[in-house]
Amino acid sequence: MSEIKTTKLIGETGVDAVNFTSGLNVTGVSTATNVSVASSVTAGTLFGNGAGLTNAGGGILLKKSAYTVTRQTITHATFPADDTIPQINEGTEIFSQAYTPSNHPCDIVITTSCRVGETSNVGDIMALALYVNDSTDALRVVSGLNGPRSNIHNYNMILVHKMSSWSGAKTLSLRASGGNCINYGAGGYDTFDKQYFGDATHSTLFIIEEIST
Amino acid sequence: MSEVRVDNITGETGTDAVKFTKGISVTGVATVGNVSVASSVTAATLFGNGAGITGITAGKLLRKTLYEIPRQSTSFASFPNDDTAPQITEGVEYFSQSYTPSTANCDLFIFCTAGVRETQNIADDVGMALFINDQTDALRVVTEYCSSSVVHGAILTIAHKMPSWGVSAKTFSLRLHKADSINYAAFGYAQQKYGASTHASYFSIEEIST
Repeated sequence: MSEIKTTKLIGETGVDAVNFTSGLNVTGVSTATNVSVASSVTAGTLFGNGAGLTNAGGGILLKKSAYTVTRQTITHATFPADDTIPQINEGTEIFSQAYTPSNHPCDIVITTSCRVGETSNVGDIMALALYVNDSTDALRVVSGLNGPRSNIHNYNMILVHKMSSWSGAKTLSLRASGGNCINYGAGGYDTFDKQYFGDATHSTLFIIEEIST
Repeated sequence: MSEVRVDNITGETGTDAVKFTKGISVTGVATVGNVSVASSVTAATLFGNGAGITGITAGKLLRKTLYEIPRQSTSFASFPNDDTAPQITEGVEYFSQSYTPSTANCDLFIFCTAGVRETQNIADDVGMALFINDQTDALRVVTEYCSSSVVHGAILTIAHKMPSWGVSAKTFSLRLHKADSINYAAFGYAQQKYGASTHASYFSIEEIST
């Protein structure tokens, strides 16, 4: 077997790369500052930061964040009782959060829940709407009816929304209609909502997912 | 420092690869047609087309897709009042979506919500069920009671997990029990309020690696 011992191999001109025209077989670690491959890399396992990968398939979760929708009393206000989209100055704001997508462009998926209720007889129709600060129209609305004849004084809302990401910071907000408390406990038979079960434990989450497109 | 200058290096036979039995260190760009590595590739950052990557650790989200469930009125039908699984011919279909998993090696997590309500006095209880086209039994059912009040419906939520069936299309559907509207607003009897597009809901599918 022939063997060459040398500290350096360089191309013929002294500055160009050496060409291995019949392949290269390395036992041990191959270290390179950059590896550029024309067609494919096949490995048992790939390690490292995959942020630069493209075409890895849309729908991959890039980032997930959660914020707390606190238990709180609110001023009673309502969305108009018609088929127009609730506006950003209607109802009562119960939550707001500035958010800068880290992976723009991507899809933003928002999932949140909260309980819109009444501590006194202020409303029957409860609703919850999602807004972003540069749009007056609500992005998404859910509604529920409590029962004035059945002693139900609240409604648990679940709201899901998908939208395209944006560059820079925008503020997402939630506004409630109909009630005067958020995330209060169910008071029991013929009883309005109460502060039950602990402030922190009866809060809910506002979850933002960044999904690759 | 010793140095060898050469255009091409081949193995001893003239056709086989050169073996670097102590590793190789390249300063600058290493350009290769194909790289095949028995154990692992480690990089500060991986760039390029990742569509062919398989064998990702179990429990990771591979793909999340959402479809909108529109606001709509429906006809009225009910599931039988017994302890049998609702059938794909029962109730009223109000949503369907063809879906092709990107891989067989994942679980599918389905999550959806819908406001299920009556626009007139037709029901005391409401429900909805998830189906897939090649199975007559429902995959999952949820219900709510709304009689003796003025509630007239509920926001119902279904969460379901099932294995992927591979890279081919099947169709999911949602069917309604007893109510006659989807995603109408709660206004006594259900009504069209707050705008059709904003009062729609979502059906989401997550692929989780196995």
